Amino acid sequence: MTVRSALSCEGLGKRYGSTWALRDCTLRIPAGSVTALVGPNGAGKTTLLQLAVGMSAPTAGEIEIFGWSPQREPQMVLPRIGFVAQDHPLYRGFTLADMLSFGRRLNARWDEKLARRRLDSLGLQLSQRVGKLSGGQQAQVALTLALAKRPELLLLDEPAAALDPLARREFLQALMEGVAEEGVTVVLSSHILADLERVCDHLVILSRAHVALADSTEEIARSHRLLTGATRGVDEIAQLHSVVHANTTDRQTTVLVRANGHVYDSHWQVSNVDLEQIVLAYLALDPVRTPEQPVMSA
Amino acid sequence: MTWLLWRQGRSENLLVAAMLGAVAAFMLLTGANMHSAFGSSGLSQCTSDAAKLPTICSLQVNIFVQRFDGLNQLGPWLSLVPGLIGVLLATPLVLELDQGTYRLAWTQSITPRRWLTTRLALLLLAVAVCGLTVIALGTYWRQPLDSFSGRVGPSAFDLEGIVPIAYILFAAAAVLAIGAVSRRSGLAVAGGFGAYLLVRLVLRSARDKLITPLHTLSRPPSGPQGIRHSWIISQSYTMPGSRGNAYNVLRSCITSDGSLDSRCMSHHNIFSSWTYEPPSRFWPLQSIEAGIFLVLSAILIAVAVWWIRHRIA
Repeated sequence: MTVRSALSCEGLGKRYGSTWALRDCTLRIPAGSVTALVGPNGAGKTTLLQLAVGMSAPTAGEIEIFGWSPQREPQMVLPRIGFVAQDHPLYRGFTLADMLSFGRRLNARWDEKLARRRLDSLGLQLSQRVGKLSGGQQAQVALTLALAKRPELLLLDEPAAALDPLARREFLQALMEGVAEEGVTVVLSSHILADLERVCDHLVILSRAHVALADSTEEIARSHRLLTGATRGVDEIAQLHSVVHANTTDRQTTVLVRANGHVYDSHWQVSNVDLEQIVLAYLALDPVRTPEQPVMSA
Repeated sequence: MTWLLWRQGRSENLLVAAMLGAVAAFMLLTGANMHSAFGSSGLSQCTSDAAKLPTICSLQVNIFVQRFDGLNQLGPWLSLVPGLIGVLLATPLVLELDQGTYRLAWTQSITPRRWLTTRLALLLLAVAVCGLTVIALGTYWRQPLDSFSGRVGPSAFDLEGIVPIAYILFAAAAVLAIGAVSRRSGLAVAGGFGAYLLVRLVLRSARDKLITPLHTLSRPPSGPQGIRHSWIISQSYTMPGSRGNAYNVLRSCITSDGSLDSRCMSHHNIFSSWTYEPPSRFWPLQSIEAGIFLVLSAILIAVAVWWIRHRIA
């Protein structure tokens, strides 16, 4: 049985001028998951999210949200998504009452009660002006607007980047509470995994415009192994498992592999490795398929 | 959506309303004054049948024109008004791009395409309403002055007919295009207003080349047939068929009180040479100038739309 996908793309690419911001992106984000989209700045995270909400059009390939194209069928996609853009833009001159009015008038599925309750629990008054709020409060207001749309898919672009550690934790907590009951699919992008590790169950690593890894965190943790042994070549192990990263010093060799089943090899001491280390290894990696490499055809 | 446009552009909309209100108050007050002075002086008869009472009329006309000359000189300043209105009407859209709030607006349940078409449609409507207001006010205000000097001349031409709508549209379109490409509202406002002033000045100085002006000679002191209500571009003296300089001969025709002796001029075969656009050219000139501004505006709006749909999106 296949799980319905909230977001799926096939050979998706976006080029700005002569540079590909995203290339050959093929992935599937299952409905109900909380996915962290991790990669360094400029890896293509914002590009992927903008393609997903229909704010830009792909140069190559296809993207679908619950089976609809955000570009060709925006009227089907937009009511189903909540989007908090980078720096959570809001109308600075509006009062919070104005912001709610904005949400109510532009969204048929608007949940006014939810929005008011959330603002209330944040200790915010409807008469307050958006421009006068702190960065953390503005992020919370942006999240409130996105949640009150009653989205099936919530996309957040670097939601916590501009916040201090405390505000960041509060934001993520509010986010997880907000989506807990509804079974909303969530995609969050970040250039650091740190805070997201606790909340996400799926991980997509973007590196230099390419998808380096996409899977559930459980599967990623299960399949990746750190092998440590006396200094030696890695060719032998590479025949059985895919080598993500190898490091050889005078005394020992450490290899991070994505294991093909169990690793049985007496030369190596096999150990588990945490998610953050895996992410760092992938980010240090050159893209598996370079842009010049031709795509195989039948 | 309409609510958003009103709320997001509230300051700019109120500024436009305030500016139009100030212009209206000024034109209605000074206009009422001019209209009543015009009516009570009996000048209305002079203009309707100018040939009958030339001396009394010319005296009264002189008094009237001198009294209200200050207002007549306001023309160039009033030319700024359409530009300012156009800039203000386009600013809210540019602010959405500058401040990044378009990313919020485009991810609500309305499509970006609808956001853009609604914005542009309402912008065009506002341009039309403001333009018609300027035209109505300007035409009422200029009416007494126009009854002597006609409407083809620059001080009336810019406030009447249809060109004010085209002026406002052009200023707005210039702000939109610069704002879409640069996504900087300050640059868009300054650049848009600069472009407006530049194109207005260029076209104003080239207006007499849009339709080749008429050229006629007349025996002084009377003007040629049909000169009334014309826009007189130049007037000079000439001696047809003679190689001499008319102005050298003209000196001998100056009487002791400083005026020109018409018999002397007639004796030396001196003619007045007139270059002018007759009143019948008002609508053709309006159409051409408005057309130029409309075409330029259409190009600028197309650039803005393309940029917003393909580069920002």
